[in-house]
Amino acid sequence: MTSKNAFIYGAPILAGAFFLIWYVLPIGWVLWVSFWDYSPISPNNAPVGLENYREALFQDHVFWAAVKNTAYFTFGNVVLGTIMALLIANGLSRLGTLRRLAQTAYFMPTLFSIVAAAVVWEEIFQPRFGILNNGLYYLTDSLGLPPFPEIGWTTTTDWSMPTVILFGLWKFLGIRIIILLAAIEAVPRDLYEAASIDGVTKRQQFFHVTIPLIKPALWFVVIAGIINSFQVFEPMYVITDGGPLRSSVSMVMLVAETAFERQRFGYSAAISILLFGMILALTAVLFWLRGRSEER
Amino acid sequence: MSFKLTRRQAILSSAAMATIASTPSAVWADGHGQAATGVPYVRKDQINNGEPIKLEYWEWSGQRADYQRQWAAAYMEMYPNVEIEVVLQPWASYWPSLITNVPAGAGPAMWHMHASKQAEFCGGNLMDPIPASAADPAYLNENWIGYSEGAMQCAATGSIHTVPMGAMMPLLFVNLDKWEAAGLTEADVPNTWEELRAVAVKLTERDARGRITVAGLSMDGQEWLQNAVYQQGRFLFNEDATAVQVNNPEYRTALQFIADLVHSDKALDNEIASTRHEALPAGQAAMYVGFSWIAGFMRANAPDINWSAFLLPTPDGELAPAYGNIRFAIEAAINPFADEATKAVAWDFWHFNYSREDVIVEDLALFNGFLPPYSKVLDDPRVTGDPLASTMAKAGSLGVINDLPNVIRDEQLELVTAVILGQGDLDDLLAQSEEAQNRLLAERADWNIIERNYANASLMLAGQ
Repeated sequence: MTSKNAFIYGAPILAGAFFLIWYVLPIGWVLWVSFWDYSPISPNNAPVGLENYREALFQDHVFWAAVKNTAYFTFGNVVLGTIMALLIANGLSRLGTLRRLAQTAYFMPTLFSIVAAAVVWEEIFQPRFGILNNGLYYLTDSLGLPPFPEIGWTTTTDWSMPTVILFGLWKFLGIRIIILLAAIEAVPRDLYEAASIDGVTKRQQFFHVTIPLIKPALWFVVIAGIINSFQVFEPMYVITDGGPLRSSVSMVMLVAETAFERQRFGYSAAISILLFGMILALTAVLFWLRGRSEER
Repeated sequence: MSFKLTRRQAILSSAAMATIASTPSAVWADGHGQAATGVPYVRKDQINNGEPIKLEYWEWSGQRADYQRQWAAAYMEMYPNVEIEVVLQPWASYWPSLITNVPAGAGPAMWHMHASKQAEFCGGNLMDPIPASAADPAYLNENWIGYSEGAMQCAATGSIHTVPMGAMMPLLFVNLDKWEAAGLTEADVPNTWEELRAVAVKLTERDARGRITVAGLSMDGQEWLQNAVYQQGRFLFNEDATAVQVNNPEYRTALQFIADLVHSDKALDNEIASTRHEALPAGQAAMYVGFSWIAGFMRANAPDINWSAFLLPTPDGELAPAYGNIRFAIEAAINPFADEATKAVAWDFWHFNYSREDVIVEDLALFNGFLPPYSKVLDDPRVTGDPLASTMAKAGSLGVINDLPNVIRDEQLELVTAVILGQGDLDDLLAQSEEAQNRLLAERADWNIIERNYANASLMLAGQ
């Protein structure tokens, strides 16, 4: 076999093997384990059929709390995040000399280690002694406004999820801005010039020129955002530890906790498969919606 | 004040410990061994046939790693062919790493163990049983606290894999500077819950906005709850440990104390309570209820705070029917999947350490705020002269030996958090928590729940 042939045949084999080893086998193993009462350190592993799924769906209220929190985070992170990123990217595209600086500033949080950043934000959000509450109090007080109240960002059930979402927006906004900015800059300038000549306002240009032409990038940001948001772990783990009273526990946190703290790897695998199913279903719906929007 | 643990004392005692720990070769030069494990340690001419061998010893606490490295240095001085590396692993990944590595035949030769993980590690056979060459089970049973009650054995097999490093009990920790600043004296040290509440109110400090900046009393809520229930004569589990006892008047009274402290006295609030054991070293709590390990945490993290510890107040000031919980900290467990040569050296190192009284008394127990569990050293002047150990010893006979399953601890903490946040009616919360705790308890059949072996069980409520 010549080296050319070896490459031609070898590359797909290598790619297939990689896919098999790193995707198919682990997913298959997790699926298999999800039908077992399984722990790697238990000598009494036994098949339980659909019991793990039944427990998650019909018995475990923490599972549903985690589903709700994950959906809440996804909504906040993707909907708010995408709107903010779009508006900021649009603004940046019109900015002159300061654009590079602003772009870097927005992108900077993406470069930080998420755990290190979350530890810092945990201190910032600390309700009694943290800089956020106290800073806002002194600011409102010095401006003669009604004093900013002490908000239990991380310590109350009402605020724990909004706090995690705020952190998520800070952390994940930059990459979306960069993607959308690149898409906006790729829109031919003559389209805007033609629109201006026809008397189209800037606002109308945004909705009728910019958005339709950056749709593929917007879809990418939304779909990737949803997939990533459903897998959220670190912000909750570090900032709120899923609390108080499970008010900010995410599905991936529950997967980790169930496996490593309760040694219920089978049940944890069932939750992972349910999470996988949700992401798959949502992604399928989004791709279908994208297809439909492109047909129009 | 009956005693004070000043920074100077802590430094002096650390220096003394370091000196003792650095001279083991002299101790063993004459070949005489002490026999805390019932089997004297005798220095060998060589180990592992003089062949080079390397062991990893995992730990998550930097404080403990310091003296473990001293032990390793002493051992390596005796046996230069041995290399023992103490590896610090972060707590967050510590247990997942062990649970996945050890059964796969990887992982360290030995690791610092935690009592709350014992059931899982027993169930998975993840700890090597103590060999006869290192300890005599009959001797341990007779001379070490907790063995006769079954605290150290695997529930399913009865096998023994570890020796405790210390026994800990709940104490009331007090910031003495804040105590004196509030005009309180030794006569004000509370004995009853009511006195505790009254003192907590006096010690509470607020800022100009009326917010608590120093809570009069903060606590690890789970630890308060557990001990307060025992103090009222109620066990936490039914007789055969198949169900929890939560929805009862004693649990309710223990939680009502917290509710009153937070919502009526306003001597504690959620913002301080949520910082748990960090409140005292951070100067955010004037008093703190927690297990005695806090002492080691204070010495490491708040050397400038002038603090002391007292017996935990009880409902009526009496220590009976029970003072509270006694639980243990465990030092090393040995990897059963390591090769035989590695295990032999690991157990020899383990035996060497546990044969030295100075290690048992100073490093393992007093340094960490524990009572040495080896009964033969309880009258050692270092123990009787140690403020914390001597305080705990006063209530030792009324301590209920048990280590709660970690899932039950977590649920108890959730319950206390709900009370502090005022989320729901107390009776509803108790009912919900009982259901949740029972569901988690049912996930395993081999929890090592031994509270009913309490020596003074007859003093507890009848018919429970």
